[in-house]
Amino acid sequence: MASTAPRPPTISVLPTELIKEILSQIQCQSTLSRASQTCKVWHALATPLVFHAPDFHNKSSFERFLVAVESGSQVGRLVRELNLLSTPQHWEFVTDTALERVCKSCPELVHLDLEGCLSVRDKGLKAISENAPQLLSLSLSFCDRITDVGVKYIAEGCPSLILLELKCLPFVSDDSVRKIANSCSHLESVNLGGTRITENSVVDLFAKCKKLTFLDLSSCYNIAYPENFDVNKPEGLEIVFDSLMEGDAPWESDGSDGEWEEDEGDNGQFPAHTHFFHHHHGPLEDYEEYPDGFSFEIGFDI
Amino acid sequence: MVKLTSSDGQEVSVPKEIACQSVLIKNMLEDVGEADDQPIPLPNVSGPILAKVIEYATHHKDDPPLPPEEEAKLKSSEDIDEWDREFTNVDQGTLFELILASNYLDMKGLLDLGCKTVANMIKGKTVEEIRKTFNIQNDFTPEEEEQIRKENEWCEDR
Repeated sequence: MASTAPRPPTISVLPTELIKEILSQIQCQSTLSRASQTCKVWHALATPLVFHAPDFHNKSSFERFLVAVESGSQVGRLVRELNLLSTPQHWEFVTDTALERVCKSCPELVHLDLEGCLSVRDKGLKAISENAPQLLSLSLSFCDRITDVGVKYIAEGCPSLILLELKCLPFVSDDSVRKIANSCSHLESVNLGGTRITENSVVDLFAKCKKLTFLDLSSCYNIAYPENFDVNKPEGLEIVFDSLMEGDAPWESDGSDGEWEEDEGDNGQFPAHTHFFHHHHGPLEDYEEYPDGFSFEIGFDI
Repeated sequence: MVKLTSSDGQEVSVPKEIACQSVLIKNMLEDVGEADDQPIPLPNVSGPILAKVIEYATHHKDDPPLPPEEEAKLKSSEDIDEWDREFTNVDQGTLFELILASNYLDMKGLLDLGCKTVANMIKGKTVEEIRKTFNIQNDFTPEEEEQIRKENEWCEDR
């Protein structure tokens, strides 16, 4: 550079917006953390990136994080997302108390993924509802100790939720779905797969949550009449089933489906014994074991 | 061809398609129209840096524009291809000048490459090593430093 004065090669020639650009290229949390400890400017730029979506190597890392966010330095305000699934032993150490501490010290938390945190009970959900009304997404899938009581807390305390996952919660029933339907009208994506809910509450959900675009009902074996959904569901809603439903139903597989429905009128008037189809994944022949399940073959001459 | 003048008065002619990889230059050309063959002054870019920028733009002139999701993927990946790695194998002063120039010229690909290169220089270093590498002055008081160390303890793999 003949005509420019030689500058010392220092990174301070870059404006803060470009330092920020550089730091945002770093994915590694511990690298960012070390960068944040070099000087005041870098601290101001890197700390939000370090705390945005913290990731924990182990239980001790999580515990030291709690101490950090409770320290009064306000770093808890920087936390937006928390996903504990990849942390070893999250199923043990994410207790109701820990959850309460997180929610109290991270008031801007919007995405909370507690999938598989088996120690979480209704009390922990109460803490969420009291301290994290701003939550936009929450996963409680596989937290199998949760009951309708806990889901009620969430419905009442977190009305802004857009995404809610309650997959495989054996104690979650229609009561939960109704509470959610009544309080969380912004919901766009809901996972109720593997719960014992019935179509009665799902129809309520359709009526109240008009923005719903995705609903997972796979393995919800108490849903007997999914055909009902077609008339009631919000436009553009994708529903996922995996059980014997829709075109798989035996009375539809003979190619005369439409006719049969017309003859019998309202879909909702199927005899109660058709329930078992949804519990049953085996080949059709197996149905012969069920003595009273044959009205669709015997009763209708096609 | 488009004429460009660097901050130190060097004039270069480059094919329009190459010059237009700079959104700044592209917009300027659109504003002045085709007829004008006045050189475009680039007061924030020195001659040697402009030469590097043109080298980069020439090599990448046939790159297809990336769809946003591809771009996001590239951003998170640490791969830098052989040519780009060689291209950015320069002293820190030049690297920072390149970043400044690509930011001023609005050349996203080059800006990302420059930032990624610096980011890679930060990786794996201790706090003190980062300071040393980039000549960063520690402006914390010992108390502040201790508090910040504690605040970040959970990030370390121990």
